[in-house]
Amino acid sequence: MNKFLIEETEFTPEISFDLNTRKFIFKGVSRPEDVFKFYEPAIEWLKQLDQDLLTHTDTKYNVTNINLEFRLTYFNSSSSKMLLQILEVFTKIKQKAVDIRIDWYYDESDEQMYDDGMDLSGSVNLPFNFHTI
Amino acid sequence: MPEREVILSYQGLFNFEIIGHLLNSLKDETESRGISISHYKKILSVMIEALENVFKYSEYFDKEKSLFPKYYPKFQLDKVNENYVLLTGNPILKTDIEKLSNHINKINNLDKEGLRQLFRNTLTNGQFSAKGGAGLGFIEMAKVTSEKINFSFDAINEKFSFYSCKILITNNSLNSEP
Repeated sequence: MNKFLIEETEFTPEISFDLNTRKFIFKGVSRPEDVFKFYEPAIEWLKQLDQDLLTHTDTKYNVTNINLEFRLTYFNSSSSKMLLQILEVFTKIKQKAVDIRIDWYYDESDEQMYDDGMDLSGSVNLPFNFHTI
Repeated sequence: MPEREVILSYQGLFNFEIIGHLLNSLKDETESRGISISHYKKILSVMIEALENVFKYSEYFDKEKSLFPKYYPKFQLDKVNENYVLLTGNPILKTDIEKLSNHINKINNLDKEGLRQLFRNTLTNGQFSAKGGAGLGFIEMAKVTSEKINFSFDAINEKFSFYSCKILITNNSLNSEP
């Protein structure tokens, strides 16, 4: 399970996790028809990673840092609930001594996307690094 | 008299594709009218939450042929001077009126900080409904616009009323501070 990828579509984001590069990316728009169905595979993959960090000793799982990037242009309120669930898995991963860096990119005229990032960051108590694009 | 212009309007049953089509129409209008990105994003947010509310609720009335075509759900986006007004309407079970009124009244009585707290609490503790609603839609609309949500109910028959919702979307800054 070195990689996980869901391609971007008109109303769903790209989700890309790569243990080789340590880059985990969410990019695009998120308004899936069924938010559970869309996000569940990604959440399950992350939960499995969290488990494997405890049980596997081979180097494949010797993960010491993860760079999590959010490059979302829009997401609906149901998606924000799923993003929160994803971030909650990352708080568990962080407890396994993995350094998690979270970068939140937003258009400088899009105050709302900044605000959404603040809400998510505040809700899970993980610091975000904010960047305008 | 304010200058009023209908930008988008639709009446009929809502589904995922139709909402997608309406969102693309908004994008086209934004480009042709030169609406600023910040104003577009506010309209987009309110429109998605409002239309998804109508769509998620629709299973309660889409089999009630007696309601149609007269009481099909509807959506309209108007330009009034430099602002936009979003209107939605749909049949609602009379038994749901009290719950919905209480929810919107609670939101309308909160200031900006109160809305932020309610949003975060609902995000963290709220449960998804059977239809995938996270209970965040109206809070998001109020948070994004900093305006009150206007709503009314008109009786249709013994079982249903027609619920109408109206919200103003100005281009005022959110002034969000970290």
